[in-house]
Amino acid sequence: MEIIKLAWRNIWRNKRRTVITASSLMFAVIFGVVMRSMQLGTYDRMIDSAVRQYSGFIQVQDSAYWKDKTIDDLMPDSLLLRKEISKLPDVTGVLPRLESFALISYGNKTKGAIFQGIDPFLDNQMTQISHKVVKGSFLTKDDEGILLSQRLAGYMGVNVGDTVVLLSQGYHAVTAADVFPVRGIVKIPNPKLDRILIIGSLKRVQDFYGADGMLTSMVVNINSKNNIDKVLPEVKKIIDSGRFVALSWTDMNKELKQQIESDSVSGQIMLGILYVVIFFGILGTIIMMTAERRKEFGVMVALGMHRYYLAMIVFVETILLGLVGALTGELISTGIVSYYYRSPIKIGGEMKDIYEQFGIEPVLAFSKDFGIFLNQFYVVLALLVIAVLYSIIKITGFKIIDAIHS
Amino acid sequence: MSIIEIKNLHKIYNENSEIPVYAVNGIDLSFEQGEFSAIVGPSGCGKTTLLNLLGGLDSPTKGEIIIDGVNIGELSESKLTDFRMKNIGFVFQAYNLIPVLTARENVEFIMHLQHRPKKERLERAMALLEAVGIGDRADSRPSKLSGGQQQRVAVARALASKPKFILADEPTANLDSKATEKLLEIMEKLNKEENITFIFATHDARVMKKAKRLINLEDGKVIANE
Repeated sequence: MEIIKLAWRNIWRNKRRTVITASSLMFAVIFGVVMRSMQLGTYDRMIDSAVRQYSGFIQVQDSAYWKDKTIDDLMPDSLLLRKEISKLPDVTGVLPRLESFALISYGNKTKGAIFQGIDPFLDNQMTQISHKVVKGSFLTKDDEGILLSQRLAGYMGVNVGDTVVLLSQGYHAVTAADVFPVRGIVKIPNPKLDRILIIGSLKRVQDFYGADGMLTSMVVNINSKNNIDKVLPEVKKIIDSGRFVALSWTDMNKELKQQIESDSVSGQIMLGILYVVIFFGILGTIIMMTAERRKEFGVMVALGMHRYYLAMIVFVETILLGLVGALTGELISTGIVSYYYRSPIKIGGEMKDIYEQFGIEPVLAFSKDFGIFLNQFYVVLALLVIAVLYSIIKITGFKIIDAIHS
Repeated sequence: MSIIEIKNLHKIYNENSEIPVYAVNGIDLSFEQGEFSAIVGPSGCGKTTLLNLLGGLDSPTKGEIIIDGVNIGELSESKLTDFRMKNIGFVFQAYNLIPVLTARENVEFIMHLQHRPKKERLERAMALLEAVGIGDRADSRPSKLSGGQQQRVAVARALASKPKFILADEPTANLDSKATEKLLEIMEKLNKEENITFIFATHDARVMKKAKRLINLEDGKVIANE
């Protein structure tokens, strides 16, 4: 009798119990996958809106810039350096940026803002920012006009075609003041940024700050945030470490990183509690199953079955039971995650305001990372393996006579 | 020639307590190939304990059991398991068939443990089920068989590994007289025609009547052996 055939029949000898146990595993997997997918998807979205769309995963800056972030600590733009970094594996683009503080004034309203100079073509290739223009048009190369973030435009009461005044301190204390026509309104996913961002063409912003050919940073984007530990040292090797530094997004967004880490830990604790509950459910089933079949185990060993072989049958039974539950759970959660991956949950009402206060886009996004599915599957299998140890210990230790007469 | 020799066999429960129980108390016995013997006696006389010791299911406190020249007390658990599989067939009072296997699969079970080829397993299982008169129920699970039918499957299973002898502990205790008659007839026939050794532990008069040798136990001792 093949082990799998025997094990399969054994798990269905008590259909109700098998269905209940498999269902508990199925729900654990569904809950685990969906919850983790939502967490990681939301983190990815947060990172995407704060990092990929704005700071980049890596920035090369003048070594003095990060400490005070003054416009006096700029770095010269170097096409050669950008090209060299672009050639690194996993690097998807290098964007020149110049940004600094500016006061925006329109009518009787004035507000502090970040004025960011971008290469419209390169930036758009990387971030598809033109798709976020909700009114007006995107910038052209060396455009004289600017884009205003949606909330900032709303606050200022500015519309496309209006002209605003920007005032700031330029490079090496020159006065920076000019008027700019508003080309478009752009919706920035990160609510915090959406309140303060002004975007202009790099050339125009350099002119404004009197910083021709200068940058605050080169933004290096990569294909996956998971590759940052591989790419960052390579970038560091290329740059002149005496003049420049290469910072990772976690160096530049410590707050976001901590926020994600603490939320992730709390999610994992919840999952841990769920798995403890599920584990005791499985253990209960296994204890019952072992007690019920004690006599049968005794007979099998009496007839000449080695205990290790018997333990193997019980192990296979438990794994099969786990597979039935876990694979069904994986299948259902794949459907749920796929649906919400395409249609993320938009948060409304008071929760929306709370999210925005924390600078988080009020959207629950889902991740389709295969690792999430695999991890939940492994966790369930690990729980089963630990639980089945009870049976195995009992099988290796029982006295045949006691078992047969039980 | 003896296939089983029992020398000064003791099984004492609670040996170190104030009231030790002498389930088997210094038994010397031997069994020949082809015997059809019954160990009889009142409840608690040590019949089942003796049978369990003979089957290597329990270990004696003192004494030796030598089966076909092998002192089974000296075997490791793993070797004893293999020894049981190859040399001893068991028929239990409560049949103890594996509920998820059909009658044929139950008979095949031991041959599977012996790694016999599938074709041989199938043919022998069917032949044995035919021999015990239950070939037409080969694909039925135990729950679909009567007590008598289940016990006949158990006999076929016991024979499957071509053992040197079969130990049957109260095999008729749960059967009605018709089923008992049929079962005993089958076992007697197997004994006569194929020289298979049967050793029963029983207090069923119908079994005692068929047995060629009666070993009477009382308080763990042989009081009559005829």
